[in-house]
Amino acid sequence: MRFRVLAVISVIGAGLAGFMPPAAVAGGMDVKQIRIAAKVFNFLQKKPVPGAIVVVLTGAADVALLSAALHSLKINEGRVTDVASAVAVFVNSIDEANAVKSVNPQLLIIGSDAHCVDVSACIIAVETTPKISVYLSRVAASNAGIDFDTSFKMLVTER
Amino acid sequence: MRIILLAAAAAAVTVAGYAGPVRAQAMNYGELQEMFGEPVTTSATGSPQRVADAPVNMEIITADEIRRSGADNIPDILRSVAGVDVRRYGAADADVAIRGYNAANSPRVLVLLNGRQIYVDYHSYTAWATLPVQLEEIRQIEVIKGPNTALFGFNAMAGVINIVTFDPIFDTVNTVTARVGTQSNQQLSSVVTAHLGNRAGLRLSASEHGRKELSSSGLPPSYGPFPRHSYNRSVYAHGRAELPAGIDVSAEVDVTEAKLLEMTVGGFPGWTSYRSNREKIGIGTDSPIGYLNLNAYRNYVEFDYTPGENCVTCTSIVNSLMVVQVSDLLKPGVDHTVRLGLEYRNNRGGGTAFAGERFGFDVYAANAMWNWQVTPAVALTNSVRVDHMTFTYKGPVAPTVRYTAADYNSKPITEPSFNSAAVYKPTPRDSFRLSVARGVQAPDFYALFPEPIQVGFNTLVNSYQGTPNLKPTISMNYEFDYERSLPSIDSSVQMALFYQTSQHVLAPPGDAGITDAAGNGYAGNIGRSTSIGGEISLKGADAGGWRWKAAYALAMIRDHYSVNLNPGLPDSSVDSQRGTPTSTVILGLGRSWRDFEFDLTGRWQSRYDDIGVSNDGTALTRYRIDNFITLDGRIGYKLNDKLTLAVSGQQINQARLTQTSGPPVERRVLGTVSVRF
Repeated sequence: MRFRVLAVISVIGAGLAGFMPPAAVAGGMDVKQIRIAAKVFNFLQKKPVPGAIVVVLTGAADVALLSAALHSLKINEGRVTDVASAVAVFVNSIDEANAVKSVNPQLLIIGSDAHCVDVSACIIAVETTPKISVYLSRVAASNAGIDFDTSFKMLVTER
Repeated sequence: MRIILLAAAAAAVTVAGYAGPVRAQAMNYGELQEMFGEPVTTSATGSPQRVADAPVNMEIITADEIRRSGADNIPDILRSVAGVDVRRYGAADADVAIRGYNAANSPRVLVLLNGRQIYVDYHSYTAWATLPVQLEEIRQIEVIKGPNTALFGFNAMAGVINIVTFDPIFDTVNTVTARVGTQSNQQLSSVVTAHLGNRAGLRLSASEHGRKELSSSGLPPSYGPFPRHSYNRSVYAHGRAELPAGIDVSAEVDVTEAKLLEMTVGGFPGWTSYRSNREKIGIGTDSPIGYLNLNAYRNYVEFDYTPGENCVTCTSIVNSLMVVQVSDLLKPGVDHTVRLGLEYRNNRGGGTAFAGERFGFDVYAANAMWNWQVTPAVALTNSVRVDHMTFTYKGPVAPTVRYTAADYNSKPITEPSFNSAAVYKPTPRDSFRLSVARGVQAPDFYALFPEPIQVGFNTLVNSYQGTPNLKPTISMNYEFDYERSLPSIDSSVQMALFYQTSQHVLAPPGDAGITDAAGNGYAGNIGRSTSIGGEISLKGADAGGWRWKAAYALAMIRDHYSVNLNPGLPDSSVDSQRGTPTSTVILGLGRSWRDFEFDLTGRWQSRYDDIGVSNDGTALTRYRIDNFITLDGRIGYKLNDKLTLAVSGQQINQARLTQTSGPPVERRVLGTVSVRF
């Protein structure tokens, strides 16, 4: 199955801030964060099947970079209307995380701010400054029915 | 409004989430290392950890560093680690110690391959030439400084060296490597990986390595004559499969043969032949009560010594070890990690050197580890283990020996060990670690049991005999470590200060100052020793391809032994105080430029004394080893993605250098051709 570039059509983003260019959005993931976040999928106990959908809300991450980082997993494009059937969503904020969760409670919600994990809105948050830290919300993951490899859980910061 | 919109969309779509089956959970070192930008390890606590978070002093040698070292064996690679002392006694024989106390057949460091013991319990040492692993299949070498008996059991007293290979499923290594060089060095090795889908993999490696032995010309007659060539050869298979229902199965099998000039226990040179085969199987699965793991392995080592070229007794010694380990790793709370383990060891000796005797020991052990992330900046780790060791001896004892066969069934030993550490990270760049650990070194077969047939080294006493009811050596290590990353100069600095005590230090037969009227020399506990020292190192690399390293290690040892009371007239090969170089300096500089790699490492160490056999072979004598510098270097050229050429040299600054009581070490130059496919 060929991998297609993830499309970014964000209803939430449109509602909040319109179609902002991804790179210009403060709080979006940088290159390093994207690379690390993409690796998180390798440590899911139940791996996404080829063709599974990941949605990037506007500005949460550079779609082209994420697309490249996820290439080997053969994950498909996501529109915001696909959130209900997606396996993961990249979000910019706690509000966005809560919104998508109410639509699909089984989503792997990934953000770039540890606070999103602290309040159990995001399941994963990736920070790279001043050092690489990956945060995991045990409550949010449990609520979503998502579990990770034991070795991964030992190495991340669980909240 | 937004939510309503999304909910409407959801109604129209079928959920197609995580339909994949549960996968097994072997640790994917490569992915995790890439993710966190630093090596990860399980050697500190049994739980996966980033090296910066480990509650022990650990240095990791990566696959890139192994390649760039230009070395063709692991002891030479370890010479670049501050606090590691390497003595080369033969072209293929070396002894490795951590923070002093090195000697022929160094007993205090436990060497593991993927967590299974390579260390030989009979004489409590590591026969490096019998390692089956090829350098190209090593992901990293983990060097733990300080005791870690609480995780690995007896003999991890001064440190642990765990060699971690690439994974048969996650990694692909396909290479053929040929090395030729001075001293008629010739090695051909290959590593091949085969994958069965993405759920099973097998890695195979094989090697044949021959070379001229170190020249013993000018050395005491007791050194020879020895054969001129030594060799080692090995075959190693490592497979892993992820079965349905999240069960992970792994297996390792290896067979090795080696014949080499070796400095044996007590400082006697010998010509040793080894034949070994080892098997291991592991099963792991995630469960509601954590990650359950079962490992079982068997090591069979057969070896014989002859004091010269011709086999005198033609007898062999066999050491067979069987280990079964069960562990459970769980994270009961977000801030707590717990590991519980049980272990059984069956260790037996025998062989044609004995007249049907069967002897050995069994070890029953339980261990627990608890890591508590108290605050985001403070973590506490406590590991504790209790080993219960029982002994058995069945067979005759020579009438001249002071003990009976019944005596040699020693009383059981029960010893606790622990590692406790507090790690404080006030900033993301700074890490402080305060630790205390208790390590245990068990007496070995040679020290515990009688040897009815002597294998030819009984030149100082009539025979060497074990002593029942020996106490294990107990070490206590108190340590303060500090690490800081220095991004402004692309470096990190690591500092350690330690104070270590060793009680009931063991000396092998003939070296404990215990003899009887019949002239038998016995093993014994000879007293205590203290050590104070530390290491400081700076290591870095920049985007321009430069890399550098500077390190200094200090080890000041004070013995309180009942032997070697007259420094001029040694009566034991155990002399830790004078036998440890106080200072070591390591400087390294390298550069990757286009398709070239240039690396040069210099090492200076201060003087020390080594004890070996005298000129006439009838007494021990002290050899003063002056301070010396060695330079090792490598130039590599990557011709294309598949072919790499390299020239490397060990001790390139001196043609012959006396580094031990053994033959002088000779300059070596190697040419290497590596093909990847």
